[in-house]
Amino acid sequence: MSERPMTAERWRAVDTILRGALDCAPDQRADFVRDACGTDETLRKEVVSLLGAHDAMATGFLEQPAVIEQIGAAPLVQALAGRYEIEREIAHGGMATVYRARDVRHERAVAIKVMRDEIAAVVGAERFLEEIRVTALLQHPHILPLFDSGSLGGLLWYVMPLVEGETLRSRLMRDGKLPIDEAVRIAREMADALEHAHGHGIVHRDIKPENVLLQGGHALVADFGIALALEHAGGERLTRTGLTLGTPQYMAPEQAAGARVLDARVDVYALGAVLYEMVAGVPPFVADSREAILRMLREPPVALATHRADVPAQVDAAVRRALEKRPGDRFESASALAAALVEPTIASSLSEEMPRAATAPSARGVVRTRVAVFAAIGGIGVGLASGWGIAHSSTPIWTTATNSADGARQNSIADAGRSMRVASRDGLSLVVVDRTGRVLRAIDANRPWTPRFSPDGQRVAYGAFGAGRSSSDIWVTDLVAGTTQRITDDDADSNDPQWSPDGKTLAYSVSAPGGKDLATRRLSESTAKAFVARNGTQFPSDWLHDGRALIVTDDASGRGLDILVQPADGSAAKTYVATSADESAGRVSPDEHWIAYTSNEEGRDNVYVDTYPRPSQRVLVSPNGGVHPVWRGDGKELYYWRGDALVAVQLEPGWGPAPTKVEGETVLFRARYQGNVNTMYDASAAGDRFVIVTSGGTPNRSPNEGN
Amino acid sequence: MAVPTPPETAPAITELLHAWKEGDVRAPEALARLVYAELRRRAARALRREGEGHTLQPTALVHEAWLRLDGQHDASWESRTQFFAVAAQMMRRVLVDHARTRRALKRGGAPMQVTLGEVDRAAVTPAAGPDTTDAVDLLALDDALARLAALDPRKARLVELRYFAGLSIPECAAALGISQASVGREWVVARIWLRRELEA
Repeated sequence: MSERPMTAERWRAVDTILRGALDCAPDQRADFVRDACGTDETLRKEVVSLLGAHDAMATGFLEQPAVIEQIGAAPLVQALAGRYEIEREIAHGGMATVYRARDVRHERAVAIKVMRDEIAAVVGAERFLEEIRVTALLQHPHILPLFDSGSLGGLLWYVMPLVEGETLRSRLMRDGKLPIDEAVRIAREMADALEHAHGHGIVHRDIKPENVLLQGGHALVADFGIALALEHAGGERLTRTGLTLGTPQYMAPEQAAGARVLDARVDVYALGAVLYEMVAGVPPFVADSREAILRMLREPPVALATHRADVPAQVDAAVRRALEKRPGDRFESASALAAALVEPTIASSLSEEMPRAATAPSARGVVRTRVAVFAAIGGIGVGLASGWGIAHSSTPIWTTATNSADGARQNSIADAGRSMRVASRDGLSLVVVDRTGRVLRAIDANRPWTPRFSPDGQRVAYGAFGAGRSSSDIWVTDLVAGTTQRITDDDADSNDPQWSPDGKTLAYSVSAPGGKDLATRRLSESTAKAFVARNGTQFPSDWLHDGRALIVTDDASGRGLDILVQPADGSAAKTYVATSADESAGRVSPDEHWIAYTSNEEGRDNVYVDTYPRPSQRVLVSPNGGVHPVWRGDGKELYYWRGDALVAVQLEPGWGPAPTKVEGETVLFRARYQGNVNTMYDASAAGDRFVIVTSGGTPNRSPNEGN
Repeated sequence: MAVPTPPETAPAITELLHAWKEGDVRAPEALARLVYAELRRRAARALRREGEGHTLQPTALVHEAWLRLDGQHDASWESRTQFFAVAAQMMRRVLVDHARTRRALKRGGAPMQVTLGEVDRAAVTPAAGPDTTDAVDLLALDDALARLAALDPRKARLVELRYFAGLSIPECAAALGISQASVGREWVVARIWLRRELEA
């Protein structure tokens, strides 16, 4: 290197000149060094040699800390680089690891929760992040807020404030049980947080001591929306990872049984279980085996007083009621539970109201377990009804439609649902429009689904959530009288109503563990009749005009959706079409010689018409794709949706072997049709009115598209 | 969630730091032994990629070692700074020892006394970062750093803090008692010098 041995003193000179040279523009450095070194050629050579090293040096040289460079950077550190600096691991669970980190931008300490690799691998990261963003809107003194979230290179994480404190779990591990006063206070704070979240349509679904942080002794409920986001984003694939969503000890029976639609009352149950544990020192059930889960579904927990003599009567009663097997027997809301904990009169009157429910295992109290109970451990199915996953408060979603002055082209389905844009899937409204898309009237319905005109066209039946209800019921709105009547009142989700030809009975789908069943109900009677209960999901899409059979979409074959013909007398269904593709939404022509349905057999959703009752000559109706055929009453016009366009085609059904002719395709209007597996609109018999579930937008006739 | 409690055998690190400040010449060595043992344990764990392999950051190791040894959150910045200086030296030793062991094993020699435990190299695939260069030869770097320390001790310490302990520029500035701008300039020159030495 250098001709003279380098000394510290000489190095200082080199250092100074080198730094001066680096401050110059690159093309001036040589001159600078020559001037600075004067006649000291050794010095100049040394500096030039170092400048050469500088030019050859990779920008990243030594910039990666040694451990990372030697071992390979930890993916998380790289993923978070520049935003968060991981300091250390603070907790480690079945689903995720929590790190203490520094938020570089905001100069604050945060907790970063990183999902386990295999979980991140099966959930759709985008979907997951979109789902949990909803929870970022929750602001409440007892809710741990969400700061940030992200994904990169197979990692999935979200960021929360760092809480100096402990979890309720570690407190329970240390102290066993808590003083009654404190347990009640913590439970009430949790109830407050839950009430707030429920008001925003967010059900926690995984309330447990691990998710409750104690900061200065006060509760902060963490991980809102995570369980649901995982379920929505990962669906059934998650179960293959062996992950259980929800924690068996705190899981309401309907959640354990794999019910698809869960509401606020699963949180009420879990809160009851947590309070039970705070008071008794042990959870109400230890669901660590199949037997234990079966017991949990059937038997009441050991009375709190057995564990602890000083339990106040109202706390005992409230916990018991919160832990009722049937959601309908529990408190309607978290706030009702909170109130009951401190108001002896309410609690005791409630417990008198249903004296035996908690202690006597009755048929009524047992959750249906048609699907193997081990669905409880297998996870939670997400399927057709996934859009219904969030129980919503009953905020009216309809804002009055305003027609423009000329009343013709600018017909609008207004901004219905604008107030609900937070959870856009809920921003649905139900409107009746004419053939040009002009809004004739809006039906005030919360989260409407699957509307159908009655045979006389005066009434519309549909599924919707009533005020304060967290499952969907069947409703009938009389368009002439202006009245609305709720038809079902159970805790199941009821949808897909189909009118009997005489207009006196509705057949509809009812959620059941693991799927949907069929039920019927005469409008004049107060009880429903279970009609068909098979494995899997069945939902009706039509009731034949002669009344003898229903057309049903069914997934029991395990090869996608099939179309079955279900005799109205309840006898065995016959398959109409069952391929490995999905066939759904069958509607039989008024003369019952043809059936129109949706199929993706040719790679995308298309509408076909074929002969009925046996397929023989399938005809493609939608050359550019389409879904959800509906017949006009005379069978000569068929409607379907292609994206946001409602298309009408003229049909000349052939006779015998002659093929059906499809002619004159016209786009009637456009609207934000809420496409789904289920048919979300209907046409009147005369084809002059349509009732549509829409997520808002402006229907506009597009003459250009007609031909 | 609980913060790890210090091992009972470990005398309070604060005490040692205090003794050091008071001029106890044996304190640094006692401190170094403690830190070294702790860092080695932590590094071995990190190198084996326990804890799901998400975290492997020298600052994490050092902060954790700090918490573990000291067991208190509110230690003064001054003793933290001193600690980081010691920890950085120790991280250097841990990693260089690790590299030396690996080299010895590769050549079929007997394992050196200092090992990081069962490091399964095969299970560890280096991730290619955006400007990853070829991995630095740690043993050569260690030698070069010793020469740099003779010429310019502050730059050598800076390399320890930044490269071995993974401290940020502001943290290094605080630890060395100079401005961040100075740290930036010194850091560039230190890298250039080492780059040339490693090339030779």
